[in-house]
Amino acid sequence: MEDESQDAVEALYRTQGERIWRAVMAYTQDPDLASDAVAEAFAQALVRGSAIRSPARWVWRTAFRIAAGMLQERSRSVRLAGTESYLMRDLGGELLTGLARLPAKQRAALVLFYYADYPVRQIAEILRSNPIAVRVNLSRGRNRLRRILEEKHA
Amino acid sequence: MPDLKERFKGLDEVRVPELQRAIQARASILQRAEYQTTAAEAWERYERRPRMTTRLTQALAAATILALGVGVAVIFHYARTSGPAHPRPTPSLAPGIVAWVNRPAPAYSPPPQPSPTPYPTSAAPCLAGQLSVSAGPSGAAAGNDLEGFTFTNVSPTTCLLGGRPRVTGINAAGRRVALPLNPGQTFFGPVLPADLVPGAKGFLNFGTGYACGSGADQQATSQYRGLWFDLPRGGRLQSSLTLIAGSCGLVMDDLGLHAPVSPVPTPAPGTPGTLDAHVDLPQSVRPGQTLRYTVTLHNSTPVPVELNPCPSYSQMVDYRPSYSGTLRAEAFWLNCDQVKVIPPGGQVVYAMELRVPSDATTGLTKYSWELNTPDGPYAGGAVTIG
Repeated sequence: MEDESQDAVEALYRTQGERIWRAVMAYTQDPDLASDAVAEAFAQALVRGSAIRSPARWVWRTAFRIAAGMLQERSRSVRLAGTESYLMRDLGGELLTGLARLPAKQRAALVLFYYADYPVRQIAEILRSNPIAVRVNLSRGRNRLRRILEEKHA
Repeated sequence: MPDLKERFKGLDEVRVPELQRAIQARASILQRAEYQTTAAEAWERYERRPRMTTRLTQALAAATILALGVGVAVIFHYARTSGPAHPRPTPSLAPGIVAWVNRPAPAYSPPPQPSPTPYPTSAAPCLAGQLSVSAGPSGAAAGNDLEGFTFTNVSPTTCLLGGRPRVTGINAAGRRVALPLNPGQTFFGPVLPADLVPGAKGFLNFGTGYACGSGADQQATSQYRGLWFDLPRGGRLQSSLTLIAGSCGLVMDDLGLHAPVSPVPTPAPGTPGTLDAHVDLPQSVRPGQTLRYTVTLHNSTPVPVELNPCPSYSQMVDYRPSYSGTLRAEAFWLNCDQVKVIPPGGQVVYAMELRVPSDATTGLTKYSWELNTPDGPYAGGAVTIG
């Protein structure tokens, strides 16, 4: 039973690990933080084994919640000189640059909806929110992101 | 403008770091905490248990053979045996733990890895004016921290990025100094020289760690500001970048690109390389004492694993933990006297011993164990010396 659950987690890492990391990275705008959150979520899934019914949903939810906690923690500390977001320069994507200008909740909703393909109800579960709030964040985030991206092309 | 769904698909082009080692290391720590109590109880029993007789050994072996015969997945329970041909094993033993035997094995050298396919290197070496430098990538795995710098070819011509630059920075005293580097490569290598087409990126990786020395020394860091990179073929790239070295010091790779990842070979079914290993360590051990712990080998495959020929294993403890420190590594033969086969789903717990040198530095140190086969298995953990 434990072996089966470990196999399921390993299979999840192989098939969705990169996708989860990219989603968390787009949400947090920080590759290091994304790596920490995703690694912690998978490690906890491995240890919990068969206690987890749906590893995929559990890991997605846990990675985002851990990342949210880390973001909150980081907002109380000062970043070191020279480490500020190289992401924008090096990953260079307009989308990531645009997402960076949105509030975290809107960013999370957009990433889970457009990139992870989660329906609103599950996004609400992942973000410990409710479907109405998620819809509001999606709508506002979508409008704002479109404006930001259009500004760049204007 | 493409719709948002299409825009988000672009995220798939973002390169993802390798996380497996970090996951395994973290899971090992979590599991260790979970099993701490179990391990402590096992060792308590180990100390209290009266010696077992050969008759009991035979009875247990017979029971195991019977269990094998009916195809039941079992946890093996063996007692020690003693005989003139074998070194004397640990004097007392708890049920379910195979005795440790002091039977040294030759040091193990894994078969050489195939050399990574080189990148094209026909262009002229990059000059400082052709490159820009920025921070990243960074990461952490198995106690190693990666602090990297990205070099982008901002010129219209392809150039060769490679070799070892001289890197200087301003230290805490305000003086520009060459970065003090320990010999060796980072945990995150290897890096190969490569031609960079216009717009392409190469890397210079530094490795560090934050768990060297003892006590408060482990928290010590050194910061170097305003890094300058003197390229091997001349020219200097100046930057306002900062590098922080942990208590383990710094190691640096050459300039270049990460070697392509080779596929990991799969061990043949039925071989010890298919086993999983888990170590249960005590929380601490004193210098000069014997570290007693257990290793569990678990067969999660549907095929029995034969321990014939009997494999050896290596146990390693970094008792002077630093990149330049002394690593104690010893190889022994596994106790295969009674356990010849691990059936599908079965597991065997082995007692292990390692003498900690009396001059060992106190503090948290890394420990690792592996079966001496090209495929492992490997297990590790941390133990406090002191």
